Amino acid sequence: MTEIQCKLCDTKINFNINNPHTYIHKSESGNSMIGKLFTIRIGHSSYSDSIHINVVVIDELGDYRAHKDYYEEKKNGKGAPSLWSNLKQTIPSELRGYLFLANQKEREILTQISNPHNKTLNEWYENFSNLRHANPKSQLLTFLAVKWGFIIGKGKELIEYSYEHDSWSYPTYLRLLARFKSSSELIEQAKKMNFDSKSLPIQLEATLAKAEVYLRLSAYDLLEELYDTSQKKWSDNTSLEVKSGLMLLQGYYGFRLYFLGKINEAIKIIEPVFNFGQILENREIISVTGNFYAAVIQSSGDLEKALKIFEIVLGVSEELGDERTKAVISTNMSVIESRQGLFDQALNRQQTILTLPVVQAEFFLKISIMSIYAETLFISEKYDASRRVCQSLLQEENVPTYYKVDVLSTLKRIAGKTGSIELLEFVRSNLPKDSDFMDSPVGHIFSFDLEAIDGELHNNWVKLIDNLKNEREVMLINLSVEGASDIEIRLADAYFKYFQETEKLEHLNQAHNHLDLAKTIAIENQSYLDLCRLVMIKGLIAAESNLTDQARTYFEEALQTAQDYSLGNLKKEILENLEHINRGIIEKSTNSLLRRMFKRLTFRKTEKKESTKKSVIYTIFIGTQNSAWRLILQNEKSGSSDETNYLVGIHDLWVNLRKSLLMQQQNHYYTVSRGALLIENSPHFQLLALGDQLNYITRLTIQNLLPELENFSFRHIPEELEEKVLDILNKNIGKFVRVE
Amino acid sequence: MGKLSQFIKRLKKSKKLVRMTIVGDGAVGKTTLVQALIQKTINYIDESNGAQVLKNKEITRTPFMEIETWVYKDLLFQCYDLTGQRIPGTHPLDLMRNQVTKSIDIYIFVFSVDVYKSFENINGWRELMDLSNNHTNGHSDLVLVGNKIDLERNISDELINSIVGKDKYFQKYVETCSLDGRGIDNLLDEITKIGKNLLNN
Repeated sequence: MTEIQCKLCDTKINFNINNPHTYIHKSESGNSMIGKLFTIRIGHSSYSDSIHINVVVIDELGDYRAHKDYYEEKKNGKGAPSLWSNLKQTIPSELRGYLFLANQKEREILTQISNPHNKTLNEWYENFSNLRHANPKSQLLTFLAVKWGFIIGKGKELIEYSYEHDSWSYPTYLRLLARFKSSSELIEQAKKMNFDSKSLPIQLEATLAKAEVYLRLSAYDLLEELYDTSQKKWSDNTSLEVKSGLMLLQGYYGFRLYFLGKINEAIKIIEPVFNFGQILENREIISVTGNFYAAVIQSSGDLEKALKIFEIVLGVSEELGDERTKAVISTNMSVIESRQGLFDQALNRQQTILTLPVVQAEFFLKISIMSIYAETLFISEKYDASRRVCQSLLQEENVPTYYKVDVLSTLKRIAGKTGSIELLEFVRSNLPKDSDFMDSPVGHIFSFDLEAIDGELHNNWVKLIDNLKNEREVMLINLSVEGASDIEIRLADAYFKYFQETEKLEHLNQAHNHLDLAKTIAIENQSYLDLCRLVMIKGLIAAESNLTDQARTYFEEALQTAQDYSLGNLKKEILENLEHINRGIIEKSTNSLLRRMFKRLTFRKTEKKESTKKSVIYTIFIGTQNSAWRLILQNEKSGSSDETNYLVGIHDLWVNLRKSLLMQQQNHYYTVSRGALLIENSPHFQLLALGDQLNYITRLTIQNLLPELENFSFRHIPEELEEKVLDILNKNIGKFVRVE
Repeated sequence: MGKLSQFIKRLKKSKKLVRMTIVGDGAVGKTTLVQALIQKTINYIDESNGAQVLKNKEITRTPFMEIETWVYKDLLFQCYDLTGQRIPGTHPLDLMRNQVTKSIDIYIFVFSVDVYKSFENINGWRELMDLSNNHTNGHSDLVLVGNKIDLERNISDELINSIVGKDKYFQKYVETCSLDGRGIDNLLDEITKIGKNLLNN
């Protein structure tokens, strides 16, 4: 117990730092010099109609250290101490902005809430609910109960009540309907809702309700219009409540971009909302937009960051006791588990979540978890089970486009894996007719992939290659590189099949190029299992093409990786292949083995990915094969003459080596003492690039440079050529200057 | 130690120069304190002129920095009195950091005993001065001054003592009242003692 003397009346006041009943408010203060201290606000009644407030500083043991402030506060007319200001301080912060709507009677009722300093979040809900039932005509009391119940996940209970169309709680009711009892009529109900004559916080509630309804029912045009109108109306208002409402609206608006596959744009819009919510400690914003933000980040491939965001949201939902949000986050975490290869763990978790009452009661939650469950079954190669879940989900009514596309995508990949033309036709006939979707990047990727699989199932390699390339282009424009590895391996497979059919060496070279790009992604992701398999595939391709020495080199490289990263099973397979090569029997078994390897590596989602480091290219050498023209470039910021001279030296050595070794491969990649070295060849040009490391995007840009120069109409004019090269590099890699 | 530092050290010894910087929140009485110190030193030289000097100096908010110089017991004191209004980018610690933190012998941190916040903020000033770096070369002392003791005391002795003493943040603590002159002699004696010690080392 700490005893202090009131600075106003010298009365001795006692309080206990560990007993919130004995003081009004406690906060942590102090600093590294004076140590950890606490600021305590204590009030005691004086003889007059006022209370004396002392604000003191105490140490961790409760010993008095200083007086920060003291003042007198008037009691209200009825003699009750001014608990209104106490209530404002102790009520959940998300509701504070609505208290000014209280009339005198509501103020009196609210100030009678007992022990506000020591209430749990659920007790606040119970208290508001009791007040609501005792005062059914009070708009504010009903609103506080409904709004707080909504935030802490009491939706199922709240939806059972009836709400008048002009009730302040009606917007929250619509949000609940969108979550629990969605139907297309809901869009009309939301459109009709007109709360323009209500006070500003309630108008914002109505706007948020419309946003949620439009997002959940894929009415993206309406959502966009709502966002624009609201921005025009309120963006100049600097009050925290309006800003919070607008930020939450921005979160809904941004998440629609995710559904349309515009990942990068979605991140830019949602990220500030999530940060804003954290700064304000607004649990509604953190909870709603945290899930959006994590989903978008996950889609961009940064699983570590996504997991961290989920942890923040999980912390908040646990604090709120919100079972629904906990189920959603748990599902999302299971997705990450499945990407880390922990399939059984992920499937068990998903099965458990699907049986939870809160999930069964909410249609959208149920179908979203079902679609995730189907995906996990698929990647763990349980194709029949996955197909059953997908088809049962499609039989449900009112499945929104996004989820429909998700399960169709899973079915499409099952068709690819199992070679089922019938299943592919089923997917084609069930495609949504929605132009919003078909014209979006996701829609384009879906269509190209569908045609690619069609090409594959009909052995039409050109169709397969063209569609995969188109798909890759859309993905790269939208910075969605999640599936890039898959596409590169499928392209390599397609080119190899094309080579087998045509026996044209250029297709074999293309297969190697795409495998190299897939290797780059595997290195970026530090996925050594994939890296090892990819090098092994290169060995098998070389063996299949009767290049025994090259095959041996690749197998030895793969063996080294398998040994370095303890990949026991692969090591065994590689040793068997090496033995076959030595015994000259490889040609007979290669093709089936290759098919198996390609199948194993494709139609998966990307595995765990570390955050990627941007590549820095120090210097580039580009010249014609006949040495008539050459261009030596140095990175304006990071290049130095040392690296450039080093690269020119390598070029001279390479030209001489190449003559004597008669190398067939177009591309070569080495780790050298100064970083990473890439050597590319095309019929007329050769390129050498030296950088710190090569990530996928940089390598792809460099790899596309020579074909672009080959197709350049003025390639015979050195000045034009130079300008073209600098233009491509400046646009995609960095600013370079000519050094000689 | 660099050549410049060695030169300054020699210069200080030959001129018996003690350099001080005084910081603390706005309105804790830094400028009045410096003027009270000057008055005492003038009284020490010539009892008759001192009051006149103080009267002539109008004490207002220091907009940027005042540099005061006085002689006391053979030592020449040079004092940088920095503004307490901390507007990032415009404070002397932003614009002339080297001048007011390098080759300083005594750093005086002032708070007002009636305003807890001014005491709590001493840590901010200490961090802002960045005294952990090489500026001090281990040859300076930090003095804490609790000013305005004519007003109500709102900071306990326990809290103040927790940061003063051997191996603590401040070597000395002095309480003063610039208005009635309490503690000024004590402060003057302390800084003179510190100054002499530093010059003799």
